[in-house]
Amino acid sequence: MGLLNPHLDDDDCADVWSARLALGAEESDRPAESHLRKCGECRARYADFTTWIDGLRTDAHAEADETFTRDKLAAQQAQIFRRLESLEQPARIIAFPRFARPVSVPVSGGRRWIAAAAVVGLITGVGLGQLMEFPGRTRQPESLAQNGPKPAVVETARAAQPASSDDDDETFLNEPEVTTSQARVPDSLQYLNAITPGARDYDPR
Amino acid sequence: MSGAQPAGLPPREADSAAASAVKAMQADGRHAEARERYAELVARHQRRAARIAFHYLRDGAESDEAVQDAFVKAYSHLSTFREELPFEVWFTRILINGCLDRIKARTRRERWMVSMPDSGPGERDFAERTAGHGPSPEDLVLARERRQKLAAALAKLPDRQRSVFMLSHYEGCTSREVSAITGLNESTVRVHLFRAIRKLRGMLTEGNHGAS
Repeated sequence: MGLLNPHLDDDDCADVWSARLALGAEESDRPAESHLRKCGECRARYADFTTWIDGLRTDAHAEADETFTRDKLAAQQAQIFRRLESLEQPARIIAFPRFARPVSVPVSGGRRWIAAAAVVGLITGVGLGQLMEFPGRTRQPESLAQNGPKPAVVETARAAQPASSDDDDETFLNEPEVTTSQARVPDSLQYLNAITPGARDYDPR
Repeated sequence: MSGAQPAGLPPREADSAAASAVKAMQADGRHAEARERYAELVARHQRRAARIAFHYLRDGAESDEAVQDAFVKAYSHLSTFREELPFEVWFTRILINGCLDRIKARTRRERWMVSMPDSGPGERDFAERTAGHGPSPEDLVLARERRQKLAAALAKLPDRQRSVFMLSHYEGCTSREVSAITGLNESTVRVHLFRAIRKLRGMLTEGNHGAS
C-alpha cells in the first residue's frame, strides 16, 4: 500500500489482521482499514488471507486433537489425580544401608542338614580325640626312653642276624618277661612285687 | 475453551471461584474435597493445555508429561495464585515455562544423540482411516504435508514470535493476556505478532509459488 498503489498487499493484510486480533475487535486503528472498507478487491484479498491463516489454526488443532484423543485425555486426567493423591501421602523413609536386611540366598533343607551333621561330627571327633588316650601313642616314648635302642634299630639288627638256633627262639619268647622283670619298681611297691608271682615262676609241668 | 463450568458464571469468574475454593480447602486440610474441586479446572483447561504443549513440543508423550507436570505444579503452588490474575493466564505461564524447559533439555540431549526418523500420527492411523469413511488418502497426504510445512515454519520463528503467534491465534488470547503470560508489553506483543505472520506467510507461500 502506498501513494501510487493504494491496494493492500500481504504485509498490509498481516498488519490489519494482527492489529484486529491483538485488540480482539472487528476493526483496528490501522490506516489500511479505511481503504478496506471502500475497496471490494482488497476485501476479497483480505478474506483470502484470513482464510489461509485460519486454515493454519484448523490444521494445528486437528493435529493436536488427533494425538490427544478423548481416551488419552481421560487417562491423562486419571494420572494427574493419582499424582496429586501421592503428593499428600507422607514420604516413606527407607533405612539405608545400616538397617537394611542382608540379602540371603535360600538354602534347601537337605543341604542345611548335611552341613549341620558335618559340623557336629567334626566337633565330636575333635573333642573325643582330645579326651581319649591312645596307648600306642602315649607309652611309646616312655619305653623308648627306658629301653635305650630304638625299635627300628633293633628290628634292623634282628633282620641282619639269621634266626636259626633254639636258644635264640627261647630268648625271643622270654624277652617280654625279661623286660618286665628288669623294669624299675618303685620302693613303695617292692613288697607287692615280691609276693606277686611272675611269669618266670609259672611252670606248666 | 472447553469443559464444564458452574451455571451462570462466565469462564473466567468460574475459574477464579474454583481456584479460590481449592486454595481455601487446601489451607483447611480438606485435600479430598480440594482435589474434587480442582477436577473442574483440569477438565476445563486440559484440551487447551494439550494443544499448547503439543504445538511447542511436537511429541505426544512429552506433551502429555508436560501437561501433567503443569497441572500438578499448579495444584501444589495454588497458595501463590493471586485472584486478580485469571487462572488461565497463570496456568498457561506454568505450562509454557515447562515446555520451554523441556525444549532446552531436548536440545542438550540431541547434541549427544542421533534421533531416528519419526512417523507422524497420520502415518500411524493411515490404514484405519482409509478403510472406511472420512477424508480420502490424497487429502490425508496433503493435510500431513501442510502440517509438516507449518510445523517447520513455526520452528524457524524466534521463541517470542512463536509464543505470541500461538497464544494469539491458536488460543485466541488478547494482547493483554499474551502480555501477562509472556511478560512482554502489549505493543511489543503486537509487533511480534505482525512479524510472525509476515514471516510465516513468506515461508509458507514461497513453497507453493515455487511449486506452481
